[in-house]
Amino acid sequence: MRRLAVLAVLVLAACGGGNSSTTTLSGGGVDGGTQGPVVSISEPAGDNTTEIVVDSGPAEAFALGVANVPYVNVTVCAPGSTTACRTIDHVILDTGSIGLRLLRSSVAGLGLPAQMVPADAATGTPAGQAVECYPFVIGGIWGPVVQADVQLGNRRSATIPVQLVDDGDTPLFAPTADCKAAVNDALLTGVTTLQAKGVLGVGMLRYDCGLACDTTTRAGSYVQYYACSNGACAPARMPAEIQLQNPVVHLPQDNNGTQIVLPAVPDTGASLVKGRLVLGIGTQANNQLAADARFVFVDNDPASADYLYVATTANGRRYPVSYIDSGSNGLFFDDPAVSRTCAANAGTAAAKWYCPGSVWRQPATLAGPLDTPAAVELSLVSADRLFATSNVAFATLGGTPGPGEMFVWGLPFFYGRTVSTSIWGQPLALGGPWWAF
Amino acid sequence: MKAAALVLLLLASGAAHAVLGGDLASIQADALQVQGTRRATAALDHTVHEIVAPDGARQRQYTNAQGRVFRVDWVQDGKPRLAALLGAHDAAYRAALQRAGRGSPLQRQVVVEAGDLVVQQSAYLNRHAGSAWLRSQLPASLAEQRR
Repeated sequence: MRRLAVLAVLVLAACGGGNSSTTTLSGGGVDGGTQGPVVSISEPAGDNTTEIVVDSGPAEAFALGVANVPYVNVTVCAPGSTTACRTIDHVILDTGSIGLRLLRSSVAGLGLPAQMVPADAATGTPAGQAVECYPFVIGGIWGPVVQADVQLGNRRSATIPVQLVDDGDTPLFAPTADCKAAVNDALLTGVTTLQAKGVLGVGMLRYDCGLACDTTTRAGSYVQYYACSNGACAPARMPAEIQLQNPVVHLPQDNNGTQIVLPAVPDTGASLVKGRLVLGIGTQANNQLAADARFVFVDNDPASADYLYVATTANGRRYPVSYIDSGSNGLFFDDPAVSRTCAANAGTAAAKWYCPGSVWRQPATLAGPLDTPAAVELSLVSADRLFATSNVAFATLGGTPGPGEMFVWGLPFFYGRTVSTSIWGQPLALGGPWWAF
Repeated sequence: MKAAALVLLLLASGAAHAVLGGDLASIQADALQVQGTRRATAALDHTVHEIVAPDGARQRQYTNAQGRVFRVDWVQDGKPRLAALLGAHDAAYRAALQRAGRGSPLQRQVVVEAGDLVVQQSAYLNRHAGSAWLRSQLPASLAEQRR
């Protein structure tokens, strides 16, 4: 059954940082229909903010089935230039990685200079252009590192290293055998496979690799950084300052973290969501933490098995490997009590969605090693029911990552909240790394 | 669950590999290779050997009453070379992965099943964690993972 579009306007007073409005522009299909409403939030505004959209992805990708992917526009300029600049749409806003990665084609003609790696006498690696292999659990990115100034909202960074996803017909440097193995022969080489024109990694850290890549080429892991010259690439130690950087750290102000502000989404989804990315935490009138914001401190001991994680409890289970991640498109945790009998799971091993018979709601908590647990609600709707709509934003989409201790609070967690992600080592009233919401 | 720390060793360097389906010797060889510490914790029907490398990389290898490794866990910065952990099961894993396809663009977690073998992985902030196990060899206390 299909409902006609409705028009509704809600104005909500928000705490801690001015008013915000949630506007439902059009809608239908509140239950069983095919198209949910458009929901948007227009505050906070200001130079330290930019728009987030959750939509069906870049037009060039012909993407089918993109869900819960938040995109922003990012402007890049040649170092120091005010004219050699380009604004790139549909860059994934990702708190689960560090650094800006852009399609090589999207910056063609800007003349971004190569990031060079000095020769390394200790390892015998000659000087060359930095090239990175950045693997995901499946797939990954290969491409050269260049230098650019990055503008988010109206804040422009210092010149920093940026990776280019090499989507050229002729790659600048051929992927190494080691990189192909690391990504399971599934390099993301273009807008269709990436379903984006780039990834803006603004997680809790400053560097995408840090000390490990600075001091070794890491024999036990796949090689991450190479120095390439004369068509050959050699594993390279990469000083932290020329690794991919969290762009937010290099802004002149509002550089201690980010806030992601997204409106609430109905149980069966929204056809379009617009929200705000706010730079800085507690640095401007528009990014103050709410008086009742709850903090979740991350395990910050690199020697700990739970380093960078927090713990979740839900439905009588404890998940010590938990994180909040805008780059994950669902709530991923294992609970045998929830049905995973889904038509959507047939014939694929990549996703094992949950399909409860009716809306499944449970209280849950999030907590770092020393925190008082923060209570949140966990809601799941059958993935089959969600995917039968033409919606792209779902607050209730979940699946299992297989039996274990992992709980990924992906984008569904962000709807209806302001989620602050602090950056470890940056000046904050309360030292990071933590999330607050 | 009753548990007791049995061994804490600091091991020198060596060469080796080792693995799911391997034996205790393969675990010792692993610890040698990473020049790490090894700590064994006994449960009722299995033993967990934890190896921590100097750079913080961790592996847990689970052995059954027969001393065979039926499960391996890992967590470390950067992506580990799984072939070294999966051993003879690596080919089955790779074949299953080819069939898996991909989910969202930045897929952070995946579980791959290949008959008796289950491999799950997560990658967040370049921190890679995962587990691989053989369903048929899980002891009673870990039976839930047979699903």
